[in-house]
Amino acid sequence: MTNHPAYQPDPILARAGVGLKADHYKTILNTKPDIGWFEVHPENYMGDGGSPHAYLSAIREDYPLSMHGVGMSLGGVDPLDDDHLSRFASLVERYQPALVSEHLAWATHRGDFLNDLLPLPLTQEALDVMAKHVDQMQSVLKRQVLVENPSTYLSFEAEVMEEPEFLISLVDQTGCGLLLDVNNVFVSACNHGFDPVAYIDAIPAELIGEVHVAGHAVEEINGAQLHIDDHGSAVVDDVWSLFGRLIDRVGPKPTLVEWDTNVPAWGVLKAEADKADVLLRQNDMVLGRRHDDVIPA
Amino acid sequence: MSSLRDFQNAFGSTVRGAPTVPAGVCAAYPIPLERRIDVYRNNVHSSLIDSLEQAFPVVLQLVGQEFFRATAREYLRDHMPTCGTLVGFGDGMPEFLDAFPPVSSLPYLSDVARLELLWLRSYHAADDIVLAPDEIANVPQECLPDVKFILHPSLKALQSAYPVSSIWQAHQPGHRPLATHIGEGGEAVLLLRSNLSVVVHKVGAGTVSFVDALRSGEPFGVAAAAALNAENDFDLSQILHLLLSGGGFTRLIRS
Repeated sequence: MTNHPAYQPDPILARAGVGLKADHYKTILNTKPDIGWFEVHPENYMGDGGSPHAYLSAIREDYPLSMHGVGMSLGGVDPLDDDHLSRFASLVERYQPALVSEHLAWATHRGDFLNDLLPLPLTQEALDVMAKHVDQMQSVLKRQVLVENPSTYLSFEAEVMEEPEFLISLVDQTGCGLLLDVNNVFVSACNHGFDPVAYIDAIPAELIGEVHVAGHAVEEINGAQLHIDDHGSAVVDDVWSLFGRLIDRVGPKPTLVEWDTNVPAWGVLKAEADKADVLLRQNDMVLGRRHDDVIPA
Repeated sequence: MSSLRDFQNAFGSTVRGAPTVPAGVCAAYPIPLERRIDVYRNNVHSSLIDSLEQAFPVVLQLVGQEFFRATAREYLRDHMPTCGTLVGFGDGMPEFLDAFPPVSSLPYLSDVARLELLWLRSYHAADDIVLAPDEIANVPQECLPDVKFILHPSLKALQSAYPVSSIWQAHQPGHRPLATHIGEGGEAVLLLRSNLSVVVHKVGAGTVSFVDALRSGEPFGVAAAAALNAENDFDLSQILHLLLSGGGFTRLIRS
């Protein structure tokens, strides 16, 4: 197990990946499962050394990575935290992930970090803030960042754009890519009453660098359902069906199966990733592509 | 809504617990706004309290989950994370517990939290080289007192007025909690990473003085004298063996 390998930035396969969990480190190293790649939250690797880095280094020798930030607060009105950005950049430099992503959200309040993806009113001012911060993040990381659509529970009277239009404008202004989270589209659509199919269909194929699917919870309130994005269960059929529709149109994309709370045994998680792989391969056949068709890093 | 800054200031206060709904927020009927905002309130608090549970598993067992989560919620009022990673979050917990009246009947609790914080710091500490035992063997006996040792970043030490080592050990997975008499006197621990795992060694007061003196840059002779001063039967050769075989030193500097 080496601690500072000089990785080449691997291309990532248009296959399914899963989040890398400490509980699964040893199983992965011992069994070398056939899986396309692993996703890590860089915030969990911002310690100086020890076990997290040793295991991530060893696993990185065998698999490409997607580095998925949750703490940058790109939509926050305050300047990005230079220390956080620099820690993120060191991890990108060290582990050479194939994909790097963050969120259309904010998380900072009067100097504190709230550790959640808070909702951003889709206004021109918010677009300007996001564009400035995505620009800064890409220039410090020296690479493209994918921006993910969030799950939301609220709307805002001042909003002037729908989310797909906002995200496409952000791509136009910054050259970023998009991480299309199909579960988030479904959750938000249920919570706000919009059509998830129209949202999915509105995102141009070439802007999508990665796709997420996940499970979510449902709470009954006043005879209606509030869908809550908790990544705590298997992907529901409605989300698989939206995912199938998406890849029918855009072709296979690197797809993360997210399961971050009530994390199941490795075999259960792997089986969920295999389901995504089956759908991705079916679409390879339809589109006449090789299933190892790579997306340039 | 006036500006994005006004909204974020107001919404931030709301999710942190203020009972107000920021202007301009709306949602589809029939689920009330409050219930929707609660999703964010819950995400913020439960994720951070979960993180504190993971950081302080022994404190959690000592006070029980319900009490721990209520305590953690109080802690969050003035100790939110200040950066985008939760590595290091919770480092104000020992001092918070010292000043938190509901746990004043558990005077050892803050030192257990100190031990758990040191465990985390050792776990995340930087990787470094390990001093080969040969290097110390090559130092002429008469020069040894003047040698300075650089400690491995994962080496930590704690002296407590309470039996923290016994309490901590009894609450590790696979151990059955034992009756520990807090009046039995203080204990000291030394933490050191071995093959990526943090090992907690029960040691005497002299070892803590010895390690603290070396850490502050004192030479070997001064550190050994400090150790003997703190503990009459301090066993220097035993501690040196532990530190050398466990990778507690990275380098030595001969004057």
